[in-house]
Amino acid sequence: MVYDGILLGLIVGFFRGGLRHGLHQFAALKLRSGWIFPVLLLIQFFIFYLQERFEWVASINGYLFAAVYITGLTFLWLNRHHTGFMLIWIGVFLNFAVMAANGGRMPVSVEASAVLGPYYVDMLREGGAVSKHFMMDAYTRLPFLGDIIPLSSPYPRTQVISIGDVVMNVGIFLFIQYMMVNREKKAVQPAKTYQA
Amino acid sequence: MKKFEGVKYSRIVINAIIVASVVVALTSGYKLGG
Repeated sequence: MVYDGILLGLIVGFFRGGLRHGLHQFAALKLRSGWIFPVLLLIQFFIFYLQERFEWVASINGYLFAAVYITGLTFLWLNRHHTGFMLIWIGVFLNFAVMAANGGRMPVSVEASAVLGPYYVDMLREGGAVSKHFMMDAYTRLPFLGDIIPLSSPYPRTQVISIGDVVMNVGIFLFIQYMMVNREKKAVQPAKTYQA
Repeated sequence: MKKFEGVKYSRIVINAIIVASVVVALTSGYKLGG
C-alpha cells in the first residue's frame, strides 16, 4: 500500500511539476538524522541472518520490532516540519499501536481478508505461517486499527489495509506533491505597455 | 540532458537510500496480499 502512495504521488507530481523540478527539490531535501535508517536496516538484515543460527537472537525479534518503530516515529517527528510528515507519523503510530497492543502482530479481519482468496484465509486461520499477521477475534485489542479495509478490483491490487495505512498514504502523497510541484512558478505576466 | 544541469545527483542518491530504507524498515512484510 505504501508503494501505491509513492507511485501515485510520483505520477501526479510528474504531471503537475515535472521531473526536473522534482529532482532539484529532492536533492535539496535535508532529512534530520537520516543516517539512522540505513544503519538500522543493516542491523535488521544481520539479525535476520543470525536468527537461523542462534535461537536467542530469534527471541529478541519483538524488541527489534519495537526498536524499529520507535526509531521510525522519532525520525518522522524530527522531520515533521516537512509537509505530510505529520500525517505519515500518525499513520505509522496507528499501525504501531495496534501491533504493539497485540504482541507485535497485525490483526486481520477475516471478513476483509476474504477478498484475498481462500489461501490467505486458511493461512490466517492456521496462524504461524503468516508470522506478522493473525486472525482477529473477540480478544483482539484495538481491532478498529487492524487490517479491516479490503481492496480489490477496480483497484489494481488486492489487499487488506488499515486506517493507519490510509492516513500514512495521504501523508506520503502530500509530501511528494510538496516536493515535485513548483510553487514559485509565477502566473503569466501581462505584456508591458510602453508610453511614447 | 542539458535541462538536468545543476542537479546534485549525490544528494539524490543519499536521500533515495534514506527514504527507501525508511519505507522498507517500517513496512516490509506486514501487508497481506499482492
